[in-house]
Amino acid sequence: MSAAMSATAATPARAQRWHLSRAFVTHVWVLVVAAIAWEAGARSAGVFWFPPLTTILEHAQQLWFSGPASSLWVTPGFVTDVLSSLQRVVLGLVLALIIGVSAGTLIGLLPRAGDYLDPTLQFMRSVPPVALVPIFMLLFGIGSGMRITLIAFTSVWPILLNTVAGVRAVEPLFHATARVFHIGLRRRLLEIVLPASAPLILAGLRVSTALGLIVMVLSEMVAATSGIGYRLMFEQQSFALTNMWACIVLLGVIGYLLNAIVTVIEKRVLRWLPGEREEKT
Amino acid sequence: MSAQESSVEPLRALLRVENLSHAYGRGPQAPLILDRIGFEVRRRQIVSLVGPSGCGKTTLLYSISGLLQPTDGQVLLEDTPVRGIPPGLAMVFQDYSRSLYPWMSIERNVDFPLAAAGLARGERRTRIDECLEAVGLRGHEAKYPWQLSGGMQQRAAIARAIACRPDLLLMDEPFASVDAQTREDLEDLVLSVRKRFDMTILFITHDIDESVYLSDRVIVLSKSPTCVQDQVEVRFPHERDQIGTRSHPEFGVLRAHIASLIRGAGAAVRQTERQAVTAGIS
Repeated sequence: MSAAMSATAATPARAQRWHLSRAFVTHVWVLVVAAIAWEAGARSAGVFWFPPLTTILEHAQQLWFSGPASSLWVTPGFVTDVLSSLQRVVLGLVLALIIGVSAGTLIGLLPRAGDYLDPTLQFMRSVPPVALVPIFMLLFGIGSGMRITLIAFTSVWPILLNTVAGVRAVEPLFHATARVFHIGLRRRLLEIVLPASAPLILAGLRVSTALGLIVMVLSEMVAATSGIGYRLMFEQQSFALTNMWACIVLLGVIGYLLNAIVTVIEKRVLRWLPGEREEKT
Repeated sequence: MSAQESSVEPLRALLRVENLSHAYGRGPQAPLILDRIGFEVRRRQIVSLVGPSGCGKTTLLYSISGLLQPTDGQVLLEDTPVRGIPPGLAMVFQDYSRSLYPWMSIERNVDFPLAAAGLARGERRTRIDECLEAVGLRGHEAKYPWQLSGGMQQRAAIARAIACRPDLLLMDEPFASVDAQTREDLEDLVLSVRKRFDMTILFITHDIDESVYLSDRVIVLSKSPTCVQDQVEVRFPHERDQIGTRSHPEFGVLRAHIASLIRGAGAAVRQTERQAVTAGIS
């Protein structure tokens, strides 16, 4: 009786949040079952290259989260492995976003520039990033700068090409309205062209984030002394396979979190899209 | 003396369109859309352009607003030839859903041209409140356009236009995509806005009743290539109402006159089409 009453009294927003959390609970059990299956499978198999999940997590805790309280419980290993990797991928993505959006806007606004540049851009984006590692090492050395540049170079294409498409697809009436109301160039760019192309730009950012993470690991497998990619190769070569597995699980978690961050940014930037925001009635 | 001045003053045209022609493309083969159009709009008048569908009404309005460079002729705003988009002009487009910016709240949409014009914050605030109040949208400031009905979105577009305090307001079939009841409300809104802000309005429509109800003068356009068929003075007082004005005998006479002109123009098109079809069969 009281349960029924509180259900009808719930606001739409609360009902929706309740619906979302229920969806999470009803769907997340698949992940839990998969983890249990892994644990059981690994324990019964008992082979050293396929350790149980709990052992992997213990090792991960040892490697990265067993530091003193003064350093927020993280170890020096966490700084050299995880933080340096995160720094590279975030800087690389920010660079890609700045360059991709500015160049993409310019190309999109210039009439026919896209038509001339498209084959070149498509060619450059098609080169597998692995093939670029040797030339990037020659050009930029073997420091963090080279890795950040490689991440930026790989992730810039989806953002750039989507920005071009978004800018070119801006509703002509938006431009006509701006002209009639004498809106200046800076406002037209920042307050009309960019918001209008934001849905496509953010879709590009999502693809770029996944690419950036791949290239991050890849670049750290070559001539590196820090980063998760480096740690992964190091542990594999030292036959510390459980530590290697810990790196893989950590990469999965980081990929999941980066994607979640992009989703949050998307929700915030595109809150004006119909359906993105609950009606205030 | 002063009486003489005041009787002369309203005769001065705010907008003068002279011999305006437009062809899409170049050379003698280019299809002519507008053929030597000429008319005047005086201050505080509402003048309607009405014509058969596809007669180049929007091309005409775009030429007047400077969005389109006409092939020949000129547009004078207060005796100054229009080159590019003149200041002191605002426009309400037919398609509000593609003219209001969907990522801006209603308030921000109205504020945007004012901010771009560099007005002080206090002045902007006053104008936003005043104009949203005039169109009956107070309380909806924070909403996004999609959260409002079509009629309310068009009200917001009208508020945005009048907040700029334009000398001339151009309206391009603004009520073509709203339902009949909303349409009548919006027509009365146009009349009240004209009265309150001393607006001069050039109104494009394909609805004959709407043109007679709103206007001081109706300019009847022909089929393409478009020229002015007739200019019909509407001698009702500025105060009008949906039932009284529309049932006035004079209203019927005017609408019948305009309708026969437009149907004549349309019938000519249909006749040539029919002839072409018959020729194709035989």
